[in-house]
Amino acid sequence: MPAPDFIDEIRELNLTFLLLAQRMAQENIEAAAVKLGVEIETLRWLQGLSPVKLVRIAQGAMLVPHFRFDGELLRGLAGEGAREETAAQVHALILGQQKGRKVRIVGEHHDEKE
Amino acid sequence: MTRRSETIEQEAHEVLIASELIRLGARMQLLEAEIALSRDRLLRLYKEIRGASPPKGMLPFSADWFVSWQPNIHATLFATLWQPLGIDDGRRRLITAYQCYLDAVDALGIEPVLSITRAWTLLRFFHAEILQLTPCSECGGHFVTHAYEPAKTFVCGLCHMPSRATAVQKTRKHQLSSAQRSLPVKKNRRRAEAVTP
Repeated sequence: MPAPDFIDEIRELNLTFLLLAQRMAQENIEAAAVKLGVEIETLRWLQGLSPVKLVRIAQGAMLVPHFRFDGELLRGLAGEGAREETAAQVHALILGQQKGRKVRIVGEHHDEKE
Repeated sequence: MTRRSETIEQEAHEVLIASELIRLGARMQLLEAEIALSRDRLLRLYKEIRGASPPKGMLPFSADWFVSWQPNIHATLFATLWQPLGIDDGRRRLITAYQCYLDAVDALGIEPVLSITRAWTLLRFFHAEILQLTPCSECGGHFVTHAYEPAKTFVCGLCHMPSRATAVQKTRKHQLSSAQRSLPVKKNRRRAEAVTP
């Protein structure tokens, strides 16, 4: 008996992810970008994609979504490595959100209000 | 700063934004500053949505509140969610970020501590350079601090938790009062449908 290669599961997960991303983008594209950790341009493009193309993307044997949290952050999300689980989770959440992003420090918030 | 809406369409747009803000628990001061509608109309809208007069009195204005342990974590979480949003309309940006914050807090199973009015105050403090985001020297995450906090020695409240701050959710001190308390977003949506006939 051949070992399971999980291809069907991966495809299913891919498609679920893509459909979810499309729906979330429809609802509120900015919030979707933050929650999914996907570039807004990518989401815009994804939004207009036909089901056929979605399936084509999902078909590959590789997983489409990728971890935005890794190593230490994942451990944090699991609530490890701190006295208090929730605190560790919030910590990981904050770090994960800020990861790969240039966080402005001060005085550049002028786009806040015209 | 009183702006007047020029057309009925613009006015309707302002009303929609105002009602979203009110549903999320915004106080009158926020509305008056951000919405181009007369105070009278805002008051009527407020009463219509909340079924009560808005609370009177000044807004809490202390920047220190944002630096105390538990509020700091919530404020930082909010700021982290607010920053990447590229929405031109500042009010929409506030609403979206605040909804993301409520979702995040809800998913963690803790009570929201930051009211939308506080969140708005936080942004104003950033703008006025009273508060800033400073990278923690241990974890590298950016946290809300007073402006010009020396980054070299700064350690965030999550790397060094004060010994008293054990349970994030069990501290009653900073919980929102029912008036400022915003309902969870999903319930809000349902409410929104119920309220507008």
